[in-house]
Amino acid sequence: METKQGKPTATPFKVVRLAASAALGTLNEIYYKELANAKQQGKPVIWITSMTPIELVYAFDGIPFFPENYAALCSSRKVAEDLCKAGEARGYSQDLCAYALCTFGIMFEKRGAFGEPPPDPDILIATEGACATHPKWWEAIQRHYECPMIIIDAPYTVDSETLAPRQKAYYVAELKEAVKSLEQATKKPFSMEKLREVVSFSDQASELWDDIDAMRAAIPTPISQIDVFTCLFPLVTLKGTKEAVDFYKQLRDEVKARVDNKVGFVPNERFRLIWDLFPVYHNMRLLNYFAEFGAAFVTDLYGNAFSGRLDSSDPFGSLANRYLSFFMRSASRGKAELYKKRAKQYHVDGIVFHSNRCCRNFTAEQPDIGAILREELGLPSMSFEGNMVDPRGYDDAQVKSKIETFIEMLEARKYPKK
Amino acid sequence: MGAIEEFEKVIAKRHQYAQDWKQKNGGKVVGWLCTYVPEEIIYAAGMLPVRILGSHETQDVTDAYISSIYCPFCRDALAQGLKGRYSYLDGIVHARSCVHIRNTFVNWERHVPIDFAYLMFMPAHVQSPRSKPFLTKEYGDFKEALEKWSGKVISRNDLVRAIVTYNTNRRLMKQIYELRKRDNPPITGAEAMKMVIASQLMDKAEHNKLLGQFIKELYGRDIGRETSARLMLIGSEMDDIEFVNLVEELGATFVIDEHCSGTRYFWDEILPEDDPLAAIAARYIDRIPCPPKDWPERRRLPFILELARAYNVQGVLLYQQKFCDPHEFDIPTLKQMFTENNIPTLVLEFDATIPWGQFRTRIEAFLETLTFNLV
Repeated sequence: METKQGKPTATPFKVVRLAASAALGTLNEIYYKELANAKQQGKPVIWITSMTPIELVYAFDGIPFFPENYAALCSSRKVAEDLCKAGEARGYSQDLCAYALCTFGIMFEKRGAFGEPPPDPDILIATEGACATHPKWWEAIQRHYECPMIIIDAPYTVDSETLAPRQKAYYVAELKEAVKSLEQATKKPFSMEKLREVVSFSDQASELWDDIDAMRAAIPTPISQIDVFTCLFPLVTLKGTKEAVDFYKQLRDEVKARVDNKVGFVPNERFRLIWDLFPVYHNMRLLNYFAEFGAAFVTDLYGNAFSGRLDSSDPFGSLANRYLSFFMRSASRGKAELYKKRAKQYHVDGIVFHSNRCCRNFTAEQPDIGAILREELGLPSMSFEGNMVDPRGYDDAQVKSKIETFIEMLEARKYPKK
Repeated sequence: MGAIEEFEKVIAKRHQYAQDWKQKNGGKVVGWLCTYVPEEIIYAAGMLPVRILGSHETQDVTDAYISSIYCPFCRDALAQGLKGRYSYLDGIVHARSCVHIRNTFVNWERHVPIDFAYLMFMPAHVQSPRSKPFLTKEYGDFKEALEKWSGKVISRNDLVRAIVTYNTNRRLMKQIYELRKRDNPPITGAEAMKMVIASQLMDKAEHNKLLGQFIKELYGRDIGRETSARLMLIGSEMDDIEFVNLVEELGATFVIDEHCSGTRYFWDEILPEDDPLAAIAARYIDRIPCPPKDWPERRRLPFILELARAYNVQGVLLYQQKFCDPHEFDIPTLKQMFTENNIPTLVLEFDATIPWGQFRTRIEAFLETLTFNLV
């Protein structure tokens, strides 16, 4: 990339798709077919929030449905704005989580990403484990569908490493109560054996994901941030199934082959960045705009939030360790330490913050994390405002201009003109 | 000086009050951020618990720490710390409630010099039977931390004495609230709010004395004007006395509330049981919940409706701090509940640091509708 008068110029390039994308498409199709047919097959449709232990859903042979994931789909299909507005028309504030607003739109208007709405929930499960919004949002859904609802509380401390054994025991007790409620709601007995099997699959998928994540440290980095976000679907929705494990084996092998052959996804990698945190679902191509300047995202924490090692010999205990050590639960210092480690490990030049206007919980620490990384590692950052799902208020031209300024600054730092 | 003037004085000179207390009593002053903090344990340690409140001034000192999508109250509160107005505080305590005020705590701990900072886990699943024994143990840890910090043991008697003082405070304020049920309440909404806020800032024993004096003054007292429309104020954090005053000046009287400088703060008492910490835990588990702790069953709804009926409420102001997600989720349901019960509502979104004048026209129109309904 040549710079004219110090201004960097974007160079569009052809993105080489992953071969695993085809398998991902098939998995998607099968999942949505199963979801649509669940009721006929006597399987409960269980709406869950992120950080709900999905392993419980599969242990009860349910079909999980993630309104969050589905809202993201609505956003990429450009129907989220209308659905959010429908939620607002019922009195819900535009400042609320856009995932929630979008779900309210689906619920009140009875339509979805492809026209038809997703199947109504037979059971609802939420947790405090990710954010305090989830239980309130689920409460509103429950009021509408009037089906059984389970909410799992999760202790919060500033630093997840300081969790007391008592707090872990509290969470395990919450899980066991959820199991009892699921027995009642599904009229099926709980099987420890089945849970162990699900936990084992979940662990294998996470291990593979962690391997792939580690390979992003290679120079050049093998896959794009769009690939990472897209390939998350099985880790979010199918974790605990053999299909997810098979998919990630294929993906791991493909990524490994790229690393072995030093194939990067950007033709000429010049800058390596951290992405924090939520995708911009209505404009995923924004990520490629960075790539047009040779800037690749080499790590993020969003994807890893869905990965966590488990132990089938201690399903409940390991679920507690896994869901309570979810990094997003820690305050700025904890997150900054994670990024500091990654900044070194992944040879990072800068960090990009997506200030997600509708997500109070995970946007909270961004200014502080930025300050810590700047002060302690001299790592520059940029921040732009957006909304993960709702395109309103997002100004593409302004964001791109910010990106250009940021790249210009990175250029001057990393490749100073002599 | 009348009790109301005393309350006003403490509110206006809250920092002076705390520093004078410190000098007189030689104890530590501990700031708290949420009404889920068990003040009783702090008080039992011979310390003065004070609520950290904002100043309702526009400010630009928090932008680097808490972005503008967080509730104005949590930013305003942090601003006070950053500006050094609470430099006399020895400690700060928070109990998990919402992400907004947690931000205040986390940033205070990082950026404002403080000797002791403690964040305790407060269960959100208060409707579960597990929450009380769990919280009792969390309180045990908190008590130990205070003992270690101060070098003084907190005895069972200390705890019981604190409980009695706090219960007296609650009972007296509830008694005064009871008078607001009358056709012509002897106090205005603004006066009631001053009383409760002063309680959050004062040594409860001293506040109790003032309450005793206030009750004497209430014999034969009236507000010197018509009651007009009987209003209820419901919402999130609310300590904007000026706002309450101005609404009342437009021709109305707040007769009851449900927010955390009102009933949600003091309504529930501590019932005696063998272990004082367990007794305190039971109170915070069973108290009128804040929305983030009101699931799976929304217990706020019947409580609020009962209050509205008992106080013969004619109109409800549902307000929220801007960006307050927990209340944003409850407001449509509350509005619906009142509509079904033929009680008109007005929803207001607040920015604690922006003049409320913009609401004036809407409030006037709302009050006019109420008067029309009454005629």
